[in-house]
Amino acid sequence: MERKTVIRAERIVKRYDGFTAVDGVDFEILQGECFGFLGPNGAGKTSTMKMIACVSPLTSGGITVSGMDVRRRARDIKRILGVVSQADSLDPDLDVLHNLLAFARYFDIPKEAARRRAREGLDLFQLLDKRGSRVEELSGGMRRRLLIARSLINDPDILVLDEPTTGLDPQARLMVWDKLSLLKSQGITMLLTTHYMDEAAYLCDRLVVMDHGKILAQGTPRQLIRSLVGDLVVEIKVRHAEKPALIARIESARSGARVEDRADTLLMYPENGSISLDGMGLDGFDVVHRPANLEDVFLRLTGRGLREE
Amino acid sequence: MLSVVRRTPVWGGAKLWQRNRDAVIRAWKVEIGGLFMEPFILLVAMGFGLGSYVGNIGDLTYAQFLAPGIIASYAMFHATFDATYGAYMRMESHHIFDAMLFTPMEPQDIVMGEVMWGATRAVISAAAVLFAATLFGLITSPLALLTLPVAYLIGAVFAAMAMILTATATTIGAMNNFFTLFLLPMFYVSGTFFPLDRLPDLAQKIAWALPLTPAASLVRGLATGELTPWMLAWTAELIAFAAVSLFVASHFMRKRLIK
Repeated sequence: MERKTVIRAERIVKRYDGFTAVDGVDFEILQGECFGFLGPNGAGKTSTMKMIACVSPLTSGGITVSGMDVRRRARDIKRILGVVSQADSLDPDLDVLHNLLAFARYFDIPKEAARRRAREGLDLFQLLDKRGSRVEELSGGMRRRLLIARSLINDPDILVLDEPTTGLDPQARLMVWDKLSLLKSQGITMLLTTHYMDEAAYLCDRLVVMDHGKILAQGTPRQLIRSLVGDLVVEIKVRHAEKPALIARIESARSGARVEDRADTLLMYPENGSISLDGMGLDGFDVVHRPANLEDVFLRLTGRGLREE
Repeated sequence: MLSVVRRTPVWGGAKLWQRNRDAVIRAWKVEIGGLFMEPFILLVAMGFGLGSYVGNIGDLTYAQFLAPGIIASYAMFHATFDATYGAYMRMESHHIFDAMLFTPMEPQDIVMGEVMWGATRAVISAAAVLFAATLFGLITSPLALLTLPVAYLIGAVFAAMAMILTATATTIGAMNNFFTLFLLPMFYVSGTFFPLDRLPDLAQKIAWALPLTPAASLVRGLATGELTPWMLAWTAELIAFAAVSLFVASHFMRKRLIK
């Protein structure tokens, strides 16, 4: 069955006082899929999310959400979106339940329906016991869950999540993933930005890798891994002093594999999924074969330079 | 029809108004002291303390002259405090406006909501002072009840002006200058403490161009029951201040929030 396009972005550009955050990006997001934006800090992910959510005007290009133009139908678009922003924007002057009820009011949801939906949301995100608590009393994981519950108060068609698990501990992350994949199974369309490869691999049906405001690659996680790094990675732990000699030995073996130098590890990306390590003098080294993952794709595409926030 | 109403800033503003009301109700113990105690103390200290040295102003005792000025000034202060420090905290520290923008709310709704809220606080403050002044026998006309809707207008004027500042301020410290360089001088020379006709001509003209002077005169006319046709002009001046400030504040708030 052909799925409907719910968000279409064409040649979108975003400039802030001379700085180009998004530089001519196209994508289409289909109904019911989880679409990921992967990229380092400053790649243009958040700017793209904000333009879709109608809180940041486009410099040029066009975006439609469910066929509506973001320039002309902001209020109508916002009615069908749920947004979880990176910044914690919970209301510290209200308790947990009233955070949801106030939000329901902004959406013109009638009181009875608002109470019911707030209860359902708190129940789903295991916050019902905390409904009378002050927001400051919640842990980081609970606050993030409450933010997601709040974004669902209007029963949105599309959920926009900007780094939904940044700063959470592993348990809290897992719980958020769990809830998000449950929502996905219920058919909600999701947009997700993240710089966690495992998160993108776990949640996203399709994704784009962005850097410096441009899309570098797009596809399913499997397609990206296959086409950009292959199936297999060989990792060799190596002390700094021994590195140059080892690299020379590997290169002289002419295996055809691409070699990458990452701190105390050398990575070999074999060209067609298998490699013979004979003649590289690897005896005594800690050698691991592992499947390639999105992190390999990401580093391949975006390089290793550190990004300032 | 309803969908048109839903696009007016008053509709969206009412949501923010309700949110602020809920927040204050949760913190009422903190709020209640400032609301009643400060104007009460000022009335006792100035009206009866200072007033016993000053003598009458026209037909009014000094305390009777002062009370309407305090009603207008405290309506101004309460509205301004909330629309400056309060709104700035909501916007910058708590990102509440950012969150609202993820809903059908737009920047003009937020400005309208804060102005409606500031106006409401002005009415509550005016009611508190009016109550105290009535207990002290300083209010001589039942028309004084009309000072409550007037306080709403006064609150709207100052909250709207304050929202221009809030929308453009880069630090919370920027608010301080508004109080020390604008509100407090106005408080002293807008007919709150003494009649303006003692001031030099130019100073009088300036005072009448500032919003607190018509505000205080309007309240005094109602509290004493001495009506003049000028009251219509003063009302119009206040409405104009509110409307222009609302428009300007909405413009700057959009520029600030939607980047």
